[in-house]
Amino acid sequence: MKKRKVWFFVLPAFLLHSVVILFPSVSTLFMSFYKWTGMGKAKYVGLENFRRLFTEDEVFWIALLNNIKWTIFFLTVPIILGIIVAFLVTNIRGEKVKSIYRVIFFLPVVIAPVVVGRIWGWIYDPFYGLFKLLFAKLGFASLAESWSWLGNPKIALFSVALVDNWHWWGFVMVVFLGACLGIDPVYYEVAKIDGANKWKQMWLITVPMISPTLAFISLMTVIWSFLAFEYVWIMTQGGPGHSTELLATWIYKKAFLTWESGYACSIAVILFILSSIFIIFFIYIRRKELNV
Amino acid sequence: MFKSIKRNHLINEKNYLLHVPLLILAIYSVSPLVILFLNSFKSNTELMGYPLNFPVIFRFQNYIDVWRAGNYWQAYKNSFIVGLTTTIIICIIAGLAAYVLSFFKFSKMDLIAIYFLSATAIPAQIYIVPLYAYCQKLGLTNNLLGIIIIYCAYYLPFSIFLLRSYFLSIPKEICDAAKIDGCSDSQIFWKIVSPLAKSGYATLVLILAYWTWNEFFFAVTFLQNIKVQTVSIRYLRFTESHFTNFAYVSTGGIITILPIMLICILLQKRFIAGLTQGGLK
Repeated sequence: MKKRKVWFFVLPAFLLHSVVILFPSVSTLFMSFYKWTGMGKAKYVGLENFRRLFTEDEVFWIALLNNIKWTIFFLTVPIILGIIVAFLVTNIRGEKVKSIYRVIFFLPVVIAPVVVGRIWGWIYDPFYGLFKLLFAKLGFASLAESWSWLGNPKIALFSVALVDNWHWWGFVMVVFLGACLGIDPVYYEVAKIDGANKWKQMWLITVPMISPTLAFISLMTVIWSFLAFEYVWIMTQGGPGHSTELLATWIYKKAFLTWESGYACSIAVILFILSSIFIIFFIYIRRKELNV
Repeated sequence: MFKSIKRNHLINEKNYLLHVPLLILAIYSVSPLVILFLNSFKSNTELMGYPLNFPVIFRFQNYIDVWRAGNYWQAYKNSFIVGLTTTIIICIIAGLAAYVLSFFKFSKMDLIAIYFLSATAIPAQIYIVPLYAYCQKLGLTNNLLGIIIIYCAYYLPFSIFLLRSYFLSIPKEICDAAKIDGCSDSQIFWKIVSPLAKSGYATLVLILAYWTWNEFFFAVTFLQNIKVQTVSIRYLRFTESHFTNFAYVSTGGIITILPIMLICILLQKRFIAGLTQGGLK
């Protein structure tokens, strides 16, 4: 009797979530077998969407490769920066100073992505941007104009990733800082007596001690990198050409610009399959931590 | 955590060299924001000529112009409505679910817990296409109610586990004692558990305010009509039509980020703790 009553308490949450998210997620799987414009009747085409995806759609492969590049970038740059800075901040004197650094590095995290995109869009602008104006003052105006951060297909993806990194690495740092401050200082004392310098202390004590956090952040990074969307959409919309196309932007374009919703669903299915290994691993880790 | 900060004091000798890389990175983090702030008061010609200088005169007129041209009053109103409603609904629904997941144990409850745990990792890109089609059929696109329902469902799994982490720290004995005194389960939830987890709710409110204010993916898809756009999407559209006027782009940027930035600075400890510990760790 008691148990049955308690069920009612989870019911609203479960119903809301399953109607708004579970149901459309399952629909995606079904609609990937249909030719569908997003409105009106859908026509069953079997595996046609997937055939097209793997054999005809060059952009899909470009996007997939870009997602892999994106993942590698975010597995290295923000994480290395985050660990080093977290280590430095733990090693400086004074709690006030520590917390000031923490706020400063955390500040970009709370800025809306749209605004981050526009600030850096201006900084990068080849004609009126900050970099151009600074270069011009140093006498390299023509160099700055030819060096177009977002216009050059070879570096555009990297430029966008740098912007996302500006917004993101502070978060990684603060998470690591939490882990670093939890390390018992005795370890460092012993290491110092044994003559270990700061660099060695970081590699031999800090990094191993925060490895659970490191593993977790890396896993999250991989999952998020497969879904990256906002910065590319705000700054380049996949261009120039398709040089900054990501799977998410390609799904979006197919669904909402060319109205090939069935096809977009089939890309989403592939995206889900690719990230599912990591998602399962994530659930496994979290289950243990949360004691579910 | 704070105990260990104090103990760490022991190992910190005076090492000013460590400040050098930290200061450089601090400049990297803060300078774009400082430049944005200063440029928001300049005229566009002044900005082009002297992008890094202090403004000659602070043109507050920029703010009035952008506020009007960008239709920001409406956008602020929309963002407030969306943020507030989402937060209230989630606090109730997630609170109830978290209560069950923290204080009751029986076999099928585990399945529910795993369902919500898996849901924290399901990417929005997977279901956005059918979701949009269904919402369109139901008239929920370009509709504040539509985006509120979506946000409620989208942030629900995280919220449940955040609240649960606070609920779990409440001693079970308190609930047992209340039960002996004749409290029903729902009375225990409303009168005992929820008030004791006040700080958990406060953290959740803060995080939801920040997320709904900044949210981009759903908002850009579902809110095309200017009347229903939230602040960040309004800013996107405003900058698309004023992209040559970098002064206005800067002013709009400050208008967009100001409320959340102030809240974050004022309540940074709770904010950081909530984002990094309650949900992620």
